[in-house]
Amino acid sequence: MTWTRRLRIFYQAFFLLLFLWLLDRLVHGDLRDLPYSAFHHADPLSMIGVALAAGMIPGALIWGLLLIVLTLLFGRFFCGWICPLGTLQQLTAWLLSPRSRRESLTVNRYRRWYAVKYYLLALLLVLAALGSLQTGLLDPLSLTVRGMAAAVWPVLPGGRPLPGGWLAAGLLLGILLASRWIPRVFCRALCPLGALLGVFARFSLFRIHRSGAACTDCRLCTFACQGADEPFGAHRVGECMVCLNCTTTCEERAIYYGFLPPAGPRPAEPDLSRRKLIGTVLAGLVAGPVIEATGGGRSAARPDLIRPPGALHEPDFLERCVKCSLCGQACPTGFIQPAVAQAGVEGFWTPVVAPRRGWCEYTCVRCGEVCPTGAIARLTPERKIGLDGQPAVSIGTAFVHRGRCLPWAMDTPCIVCEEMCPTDPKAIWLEPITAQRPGGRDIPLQRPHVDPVRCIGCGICENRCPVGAEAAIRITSVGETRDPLNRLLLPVRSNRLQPGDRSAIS
Amino acid sequence: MNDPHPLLPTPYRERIDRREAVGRLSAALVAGGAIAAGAIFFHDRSGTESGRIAVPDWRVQETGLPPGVISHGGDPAANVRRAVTALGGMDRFVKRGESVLLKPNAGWDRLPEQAADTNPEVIAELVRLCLAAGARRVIVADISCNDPLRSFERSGIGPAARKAGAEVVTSRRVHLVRAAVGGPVTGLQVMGELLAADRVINVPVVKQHSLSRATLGMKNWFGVLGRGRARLHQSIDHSIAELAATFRPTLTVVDATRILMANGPQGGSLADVKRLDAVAVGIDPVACDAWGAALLGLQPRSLGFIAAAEGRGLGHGDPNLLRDLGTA
Amino acid sequence: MRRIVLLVLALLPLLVVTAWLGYRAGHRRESPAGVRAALARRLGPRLPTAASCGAVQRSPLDRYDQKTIYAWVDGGAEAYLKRGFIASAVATYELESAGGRVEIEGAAVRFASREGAAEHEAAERPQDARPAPGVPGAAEDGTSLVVRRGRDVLQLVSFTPDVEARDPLAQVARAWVQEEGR
Repeated sequence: MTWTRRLRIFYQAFFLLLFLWLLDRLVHGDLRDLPYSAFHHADPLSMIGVALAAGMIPGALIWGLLLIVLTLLFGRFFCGWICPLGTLQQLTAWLLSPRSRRESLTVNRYRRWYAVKYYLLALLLVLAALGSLQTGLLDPLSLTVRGMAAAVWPVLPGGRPLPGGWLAAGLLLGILLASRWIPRVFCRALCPLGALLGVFARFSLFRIHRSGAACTDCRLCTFACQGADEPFGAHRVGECMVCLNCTTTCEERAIYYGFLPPAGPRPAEPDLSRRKLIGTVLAGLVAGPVIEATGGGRSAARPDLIRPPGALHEPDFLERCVKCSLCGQACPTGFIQPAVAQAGVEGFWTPVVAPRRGWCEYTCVRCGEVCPTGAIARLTPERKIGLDGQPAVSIGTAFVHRGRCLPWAMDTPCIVCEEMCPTDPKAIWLEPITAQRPGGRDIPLQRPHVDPVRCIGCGICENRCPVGAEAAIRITSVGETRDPLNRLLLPVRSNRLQPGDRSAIS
Repeated sequence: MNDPHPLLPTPYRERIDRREAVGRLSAALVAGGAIAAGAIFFHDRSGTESGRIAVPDWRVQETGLPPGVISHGGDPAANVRRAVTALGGMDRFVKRGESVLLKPNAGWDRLPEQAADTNPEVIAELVRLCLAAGARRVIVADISCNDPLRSFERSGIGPAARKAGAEVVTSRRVHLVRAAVGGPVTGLQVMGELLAADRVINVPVVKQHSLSRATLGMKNWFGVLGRGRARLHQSIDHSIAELAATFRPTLTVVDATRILMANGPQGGSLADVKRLDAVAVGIDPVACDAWGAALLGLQPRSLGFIAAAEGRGLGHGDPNLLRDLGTA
Repeated sequence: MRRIVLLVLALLPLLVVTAWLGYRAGHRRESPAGVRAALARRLGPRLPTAASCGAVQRSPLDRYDQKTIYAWVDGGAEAYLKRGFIASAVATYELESAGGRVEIEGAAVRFASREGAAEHEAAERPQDARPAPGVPGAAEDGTSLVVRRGRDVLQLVSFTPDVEARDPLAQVARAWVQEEGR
């Protein structure tokens, strides 16, 4: 192993550990202002996807440009040196796959179907241009965070279970397992970010060069080649992950990685058929509107589609959410979970809330703080709870189900929902009555009523309601700030909080 | 001896050599020993019925102590010191080498000026006094209603306790066990760290509450219970009295530096908070609660749980039993 | 030698990333300062303490809201309410000045909107007003001073007309402006 290869391995270890450490700190509610979404900020797939879908680039994503520029300089070094999913696949390949298989000519040969990732990229970009951002389904960073959230954290001590996460876990574990047969097959064949970087890598200034004179056609260079880019022939620069293994395995020292190597045979283009590409684009142009119209996501407001506080209006949200699951990891109570059916086909794996799992902590704004694309806007705590004079941010309204509530239906005292309600004055008020039981036993009860003007839909009432199975007080999305049409009350003065008309001056 | 038995299959070795015999015997001994050790380790001697841990009585057996003392003054830590000294000093309650658990109210993600949690300076001072009296370990623990890390951090109790030298146990780290509790509390799990402590100090803050009308020391025991404690609201006064009968602390320290007059038990607006700058320390939990109730403008014995606790002989619901040391 | 230079250059990005991480780790997120300040503001309009404006003493605050305003400005209450009055805090200060002891009554009045507050400021502005030293936007005439910040208006009146009160008035006004953080 020469020093370049060792350096690459060192980089991979550094960034994998950094990625895992940041995720671990985020999940444990670390109070330090660490850059939890740094990896996602530098993701050009998210940047271009959001740019196409929403027509703008959220501030932090501009770092994706840096990565593109560096790719234009050095090639797909991100895949080989930085990407945590890439490193994980390599680790699995190294652990599970016998060396004879891992390092062989056949397994590292380029295959025609490795071009699928370019078609996938084209499809995703067309869908994004039509307003439906689905890059997050296969983006390696989103995939890893989601997979770890579903497969790893829940089994560690102190972890929270993630019901329904088996699909995300299965996807991650499947990808890792596949490396046992073909190392980094996801990177070679499916990764849309790899495809995007590959498009730029073709013009890279630094690249692998093979000296025709010294080369003896022994093919040793492909033995440990990660990108299956065939350095022995017309080198496919768009596939090369700059692992630099070929420079060390070549015994003739015929291969080196350098700046603007002398002109040689033209590097091979990716194996894309123009017809297939046009077909993919057309498929996207058809599928996009069909999904948007019939997928059930963005049309009428759904009662069970409750998004985290700060989330944008649904069409804008779907144009920005890259399904990275960082908000779910940041949420201290486990309130935010990836949607399965609640948000329709488009909203698969976008964040929705689950009141029986957690609730929205009153002054917590962590979800918006970590969202890399601004799908969940950053809020200050004062803005979120309405201390600045404007109404508090609401994600829904609670409804008392009088048929299940203990004081309403069972003549039994209970005021847990009122006790837990965090607003001041509380959004649940108690009506004192005396229930007359047969046998002359009078029971003083306090019956809860929800004040829809004050309720912010945080869900702690539903979370703590002692009535099992279905809670006796449940939140639905009506009244959420982000959707002016999803309203319960008429917008008249009596239904608005006026400064000064609460027990606290404002 | 050398002739193999006709019924035995061939080949058959008539003798095993010594080395193999020793080897087989050792293996048998090791296996047997491991199984025996495992059996002893896992053997639940107590049986299924009494597999529950008993709740210790943490009170000190001292006579001649007043039910409690009250100190007023602008420095909460000084109030605590003064009151504890007036009761005879912390070493009367915490002996050298004992472990102490402080049970604050750290239930809510609120700032200290919102009076939803115990004042962090009161906790810090108690930690210091316990350590000075020779405690080998001081734990500050509570099972919060809001997110535990945020609650301990924002209330200031976490940082203050750690700085003073205590171990902080939030609901993320707590170890819940089945305890021998009865009445309405039957079946609920209890904080294991509490049951393992030698001395326990209950440190509530005075707050209004919609159901019990006040939440003080006796209701503070909710925070040591696990899931299902919400059901206790169905018979709140009886439940609180049962908790007071189950958990008999060494001391009760009622924090009235700031009290929550309305919208309890969480509050939020500063308009609900009244600054009283007082702390009471006592061995009679009912009298201490009665004092807190009086601060809220309530008639102590009109509160169901105070009457119930007094009726069960757990203390006296008369706030005047506490000796007021006046202002420092 | 060339190899060492290349190695250092190659490790430079990692060092930069580590340094940046260290810098970020030195900052804490979720500072409660914003919530604290907002909570304090919501309590109502504030008046500076005696210590902060160099006064000898200050009376306890009297607070008035929309219901109790009549106890404070009986006749003028309607005008206040029309402008969107929410609450006020009133106290009396005693300050030492070059000419002797001065007694100043201060009232901080909060309105529902800036327009209402501006309207009130214009109405309360003394005749022959001139700017006060060190208090931008203030108008005073030697015995009274009016200044506005946002939705809050500060009205100061000296109850000792025979003593020159220009400096004490400005002192209290400065302390108020500073405490409001604006």
